[in-house]
Amino acid sequence: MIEPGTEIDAWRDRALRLDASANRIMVGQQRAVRLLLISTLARGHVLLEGDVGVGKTTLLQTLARGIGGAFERIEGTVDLMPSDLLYYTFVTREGQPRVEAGPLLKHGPDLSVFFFNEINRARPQVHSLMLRAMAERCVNAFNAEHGLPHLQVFADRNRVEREETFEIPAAVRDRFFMEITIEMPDDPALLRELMADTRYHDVGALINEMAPSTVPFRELNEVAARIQTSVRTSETLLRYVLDLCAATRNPTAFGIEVEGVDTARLVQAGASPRGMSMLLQAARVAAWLAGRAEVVPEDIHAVFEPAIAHRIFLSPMYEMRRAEIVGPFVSTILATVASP
Amino acid sequence: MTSWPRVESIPVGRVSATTRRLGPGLAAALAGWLVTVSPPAHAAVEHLSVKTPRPYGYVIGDVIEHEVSLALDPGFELDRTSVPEPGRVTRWLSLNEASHVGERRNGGSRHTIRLRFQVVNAAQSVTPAGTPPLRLRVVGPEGDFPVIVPAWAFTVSPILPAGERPAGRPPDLRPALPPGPITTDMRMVRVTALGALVLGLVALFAGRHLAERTGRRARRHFDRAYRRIRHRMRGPASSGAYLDALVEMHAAFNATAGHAVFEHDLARFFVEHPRFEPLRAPIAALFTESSAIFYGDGPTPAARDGGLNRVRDLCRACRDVERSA
Repeated sequence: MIEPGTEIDAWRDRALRLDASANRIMVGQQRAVRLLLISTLARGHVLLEGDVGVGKTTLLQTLARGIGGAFERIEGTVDLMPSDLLYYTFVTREGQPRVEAGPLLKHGPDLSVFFFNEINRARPQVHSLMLRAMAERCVNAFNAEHGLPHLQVFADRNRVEREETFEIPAAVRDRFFMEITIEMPDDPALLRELMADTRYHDVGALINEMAPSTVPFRELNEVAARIQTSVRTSETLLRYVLDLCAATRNPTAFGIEVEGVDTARLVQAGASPRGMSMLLQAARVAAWLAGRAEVVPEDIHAVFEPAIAHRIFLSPMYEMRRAEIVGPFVSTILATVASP
Repeated sequence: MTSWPRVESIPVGRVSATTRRLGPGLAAALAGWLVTVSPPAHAAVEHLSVKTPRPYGYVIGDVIEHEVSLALDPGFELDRTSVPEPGRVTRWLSLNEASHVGERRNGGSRHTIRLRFQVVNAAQSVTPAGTPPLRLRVVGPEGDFPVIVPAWAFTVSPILPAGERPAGRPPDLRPALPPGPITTDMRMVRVTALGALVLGLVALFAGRHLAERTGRRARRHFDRAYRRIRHRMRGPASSGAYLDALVEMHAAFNATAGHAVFEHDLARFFVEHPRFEPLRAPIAALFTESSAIFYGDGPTPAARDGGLNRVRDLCRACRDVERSA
């Protein structure tokens, strides 16, 4: 158990307060809120998956208010260029040309949440810029390097249309810490509340219900590092994680079977070493939030699918059926691989 | 229809020493066969002969094979392009295959050309036909010259006599043989059917009994774990024995459930296997203890004191539940 009264324990209370506040604003999204919080506390970038109008932007703005710092958003379009993220040009009233910082640079190092809507509508050169911003938390512009030390990128993919879209390359997909699915609540009472309660009509007022800077963004990097060092992982658990990840690469060796799928031909590439590391980071945060000083299989199970599923690259013959295959595949792995 | 072989040696220049005399009956048929070569070629061709089948009694579809042997003196070569290509050669014949094999011998060369003709036309009555002359070309130091294998005459016959079929003659195409009679002795049929039925029933019951016994044994996961734990307890006491016993128990739970069972989804196990419900508290305690040992700070003092005995007792209780099913 984490020692009560310590600084790291106080941080846990703040994080749980933020979790509770976000759940009051985003009703019926407990799992998504918890996974977003885990990503934030592990300083990981997130791919968001979900239909239109389920509250992705509201959730991100709520999180941005909860951790403080600036929130920026950009829409992916086929003609978006990398420079559009860095600067824009215009003519002043005096007729003078001016160059101003774009959404990535406008807030300098205070940018904490950057939402890239429909990232797969943007061209690969834009993905390239994002890759560097995400991996190194800095970009080059105006002949200088600009640090973005608190940047956390959230990207949404358009999964419906395929025309004029550019699938995110494997290398970029692998840099995302998690892919979190935000689903419409299926509880009729919740849906009724969302529809009828006037509290949800004014999104701005709703977001303001979140206490600002509950978890100050400037301290997140340090807290994230301390969480990782304060939560232990036993040899048995590490062996379990290795087995799980090996099963994503070679499912037949673990007897993984999915109905209607030849698992021997299913996977082109499974969990990468970076993916395995990120899985463990996420599990450590999950354990820390649960008040444990060590990771147990429950923590791994809580984050395995969002941390690993988007890193599993299927053979072309199965890629078109990804949505129906990956979920059962991951569930079967969790149900089959045992520990200790 | 073919009757192999008959060798007809064709005298060419000085080859008379190696050439057989033709039979008197065939001599007339081969009268026009003699290879006509210009005088210089006589000296170059050491031997030329043709193996042919009988020259009569062919009907449409029959295959006729000729084998031409040619021996040439040193310095002379057969022009292989003069070997004919497969294709229709006369009204009656098609050349289906033509092969050539050459070999060196005593400085000279020997060549074997095999021609495979097929009769492709039907005759209304016995009709004379023949192969065309085979015109080979030999290349020598002073230019090339032809070596001609003369035409070979034969007769083509109809398969059936022409005209209407005489009265009382059986039809040309006979119907397929009718099936043989089957036994109509009902006693034999009954005995055979009864025997097969008895044998089938015996096999069915024996198979089910065997499958049940094997299946029951295979499903006794806690039984197997209990035996292994007891076997391990007979050895020297060690912390390893306790850990092994826990692993055995986890394996038994996983095998019973058909999937990996973890502490956090233990409730699902009791829903799927309600007969273990009376053991819920000790099973939950076992999983908590195991989690602390394998993922946490290690065994609690309570676990260290008699933990192995407790695991064995729980395993025995689970085995009893398993047997009662």
